[in-house]
Amino acid sequence: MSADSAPGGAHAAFWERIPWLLNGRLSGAEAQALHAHMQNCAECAREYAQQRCVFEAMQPDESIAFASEAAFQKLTARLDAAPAPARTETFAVARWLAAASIVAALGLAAWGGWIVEHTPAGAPAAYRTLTAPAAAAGGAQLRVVFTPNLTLAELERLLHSIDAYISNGPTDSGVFTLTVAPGRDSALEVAQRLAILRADADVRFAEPVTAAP
Amino acid sequence: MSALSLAPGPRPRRASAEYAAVKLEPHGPSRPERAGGASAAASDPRDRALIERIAAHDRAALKELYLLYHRRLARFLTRVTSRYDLAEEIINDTFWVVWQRAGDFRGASYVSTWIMGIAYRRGLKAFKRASFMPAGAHDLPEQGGESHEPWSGAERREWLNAALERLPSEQRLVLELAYHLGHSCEEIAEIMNCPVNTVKTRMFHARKKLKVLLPALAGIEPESPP
Repeated sequence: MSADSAPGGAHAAFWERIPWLLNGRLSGAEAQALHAHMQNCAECAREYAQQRCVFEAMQPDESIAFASEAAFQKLTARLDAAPAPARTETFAVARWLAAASIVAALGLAAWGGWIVEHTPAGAPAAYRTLTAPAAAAGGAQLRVVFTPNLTLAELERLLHSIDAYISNGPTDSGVFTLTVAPGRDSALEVAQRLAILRADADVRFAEPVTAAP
Repeated sequence: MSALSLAPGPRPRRASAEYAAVKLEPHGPSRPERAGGASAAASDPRDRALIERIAAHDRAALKELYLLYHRRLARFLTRVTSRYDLAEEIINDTFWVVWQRAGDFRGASYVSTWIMGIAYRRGLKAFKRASFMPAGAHDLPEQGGESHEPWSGAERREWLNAALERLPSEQRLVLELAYHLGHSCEEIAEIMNCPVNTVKTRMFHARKKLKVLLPALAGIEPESPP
């Protein structure tokens, strides 16, 4: 059967399978049928030769080496900075995140209210760029990573105990920014609040936000 | 590639004579390290065991799987994005998802197909940026027609890579997944989250467009019998 005499559908189906004959992914019967077809079909035999050229030119360059270990270290650092993935407590985490979002929204609303209250009429609006020091926005700020096990009630208790509220976050890495209430942010008081946070089993990480030089 | 030549000349009249020499090669084209096929089938039990350990938050298992796949993914992603830094970012995004979602792997496909599907989705934007260069953005190297061996070695790769950059990203990726990584039609459909017929159509158009972009390709004839 030549390409000209073969039924159009059958020839087209053989032609279509050539790439997968080349990469060895046809079944034995399919490969055998295509080999038999190519014995008598000049068009498919020529296509096979041409595609083999393309196939061979696209083979991996085995001489290129990659720094796999170093790349994995970057992934490790990223995993270390993030909360552990959920296994069976997916619902609990979702609930925790929703609660944290509500707390964050309430915190931001309270903060916004405080700013409105304490901004003199006619005072120029204060703008802050992403590169400005975070601490310039208000009281002392702390960066904190909580465990996924922390409940809303525990989060509220913790925030009350240190007179702070959530002013930002969570980031992609799960980092929250807490702002200590104005007037309670001397160096000593900040250190005391950090000690409370670090002693809490549900706090993975707590550090002060340092102003840019 | 001595058997394939671009040298002009009369075509053999009988297809069987043309094809005979192709079949004489006992093992077919070279088969380096591949993601699909027998290689995937052989490595899948090992990969599944690692995925189970990763689902239990075993960092050592994550590292083992990462090191098993990094080279293959880095080579493929660097090839299609032309940037190793971007390739590494996509790989680490992929394994971030593997770490988070290992417990969701149901075993409906090879682990290698599952991982490649994640990498495809994580790298989609980068693939689209890197592929389908507008005409003139990356001119095709001149294809010499007079040389006796113009379609060989590094020159062949250079022409082909430049032509591949002119293909729409979906068509190029089907070719890359089949030829560079050795995936089956069904695996590619799963990786690209599309019907098998879409893969076939993309492969069809990729092959047709390559012939237009690489006139030298059309001159390649099957080997003559020895």
